[in-house]
Amino acid sequence: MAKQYKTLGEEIWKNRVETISAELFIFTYGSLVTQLVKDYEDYDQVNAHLEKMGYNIGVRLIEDFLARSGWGRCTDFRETMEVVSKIGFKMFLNITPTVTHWSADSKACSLILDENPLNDFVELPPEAQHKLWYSNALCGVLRGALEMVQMQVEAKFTSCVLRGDDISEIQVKFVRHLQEEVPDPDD
Amino acid sequence: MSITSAINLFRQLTVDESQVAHQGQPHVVNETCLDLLLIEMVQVLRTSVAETSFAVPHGGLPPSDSLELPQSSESTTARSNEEQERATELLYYKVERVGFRIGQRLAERYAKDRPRFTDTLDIVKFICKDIWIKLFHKQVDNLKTNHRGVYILQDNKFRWLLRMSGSEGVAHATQQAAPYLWFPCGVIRGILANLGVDSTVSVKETNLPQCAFQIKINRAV
Amino acid sequence: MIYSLYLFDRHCQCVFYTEWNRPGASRSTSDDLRNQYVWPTQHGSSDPRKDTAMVDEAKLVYGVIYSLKSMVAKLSATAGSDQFLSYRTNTYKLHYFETASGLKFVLTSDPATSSLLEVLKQIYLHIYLEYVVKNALVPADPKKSLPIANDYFCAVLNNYIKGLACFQS
Repeated sequence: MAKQYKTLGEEIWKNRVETISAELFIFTYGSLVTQLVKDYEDYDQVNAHLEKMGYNIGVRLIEDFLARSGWGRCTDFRETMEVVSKIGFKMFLNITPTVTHWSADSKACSLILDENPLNDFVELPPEAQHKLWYSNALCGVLRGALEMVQMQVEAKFTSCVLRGDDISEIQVKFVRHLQEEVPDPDD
Repeated sequence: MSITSAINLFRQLTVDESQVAHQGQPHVVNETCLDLLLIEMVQVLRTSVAETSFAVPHGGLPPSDSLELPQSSESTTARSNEEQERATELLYYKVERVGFRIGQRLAERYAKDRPRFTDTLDIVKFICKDIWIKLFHKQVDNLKTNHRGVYILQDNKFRWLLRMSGSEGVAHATQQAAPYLWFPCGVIRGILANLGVDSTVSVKETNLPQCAFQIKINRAV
Repeated sequence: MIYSLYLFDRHCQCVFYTEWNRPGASRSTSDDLRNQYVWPTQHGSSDPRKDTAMVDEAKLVYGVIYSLKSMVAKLSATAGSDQFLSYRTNTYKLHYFETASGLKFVLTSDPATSSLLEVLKQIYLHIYLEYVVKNALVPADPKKSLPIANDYFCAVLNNYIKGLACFQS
């Protein structure tokens, strides 16, 4: 199954995606983070706003993902995370994080980002290293995109190479399936 | 945290060439990533204006409150108009700054491998060709100058405006699109600044998706 | 022959409707977009009665789709994987496409028209995605229903539908 997703992800990346040089994207994100740090002067708030912005991006991004991949509904969280890594991350950022550290009940796992284009060219000042989750927007994107396909999740960075950790890891927890809305009986 | 260290954050984002060159090919990402980031960037900065710049009351209520109040009396309306204007101004400042920093980085990246610029026109041409192609896969359609330090760059199908459309006519949509044009204004100014040219960049005219930027040189190299 | 298009969002609300060769509707002979009925009305409504009737009709259409979906799911041998694609009466055919994000695209045509599933997918990929999802002037609030009122969306949709071989035949 995982192999099949990988092939599909690569095919989409090759044939169904318009690409741009990563620099403009990376610089834009970096410059925006800088602006938020200046504005809020508080890393916790910056982390929160990056997550919120990511959520809003995710809400839009899911439609691009679905339209381009032709993907139907995923109900299984394990399968969904494979799709997120091998097709989702692949078709937008050209990376495929490793899905690992599954909990016994299959409701939590980790995405290990062996590479993360957002981090390119970035070095955090010492005081930010303990507080800023630079790529926190990615967590928001995951939450927003998955919510739109009726899956509520919590996503957070637990380590990041920019903070001096060995790996960058996003922990994703499945919360619940959201019910599809039904028409108002009064109508 | 101090402002200086915040500024350092970006200064310290140094270009590491070995990273770029890895795997022998330039990094690329899906264009959608940038499209969506630009859309939400303006939103998040709008929030930042409301939350940080109006946090200290300055003779009036913070805008979040004043928006909810019934604006019946004329003085309230006048004040909220004033606040509105100030909020727009602050948003402009932030969006432009974000663009400015990117422009500086882009100039660093793309200008260093080419022959020295002979004059300001040379730099403007570099923006119209090299930079535009890098960012928008096309050149600027028309470049005009009065030879006294004013340049007009016209793009008939500006990539970041191609999908912008509303329901209340082109004029209204153009007005709504304004913040998304302050960003490239900042980028252009940043590039020029990095190459030693102090300038003022503004949007000369827009007629979606057409757009003209005006560069006014304050002090050349 | 293509009759009409309905678009429903994830909150079960109709966010867009337009019609072309719909039988019984006042048909304009010119290609002028202004003579075409579009909901939400673009530049001030000229016919509020028609708007009300349209909103009621859209609710009925949604009800039908919803019931059909439930029935298909109940009768299906493999749970969750079946979706209904179209149904046909003596006078029209209704084509249906739903995305995993809960958007529902509905196109009606004359009964002889073959499947329009691909057409609906193209509308999603090339028109909805471009001019709604990636349009900075359209706010994306997943909690609210936002009728699609934007000029490009209508214009490109019109061009696309009118260019189809089955549009008028």
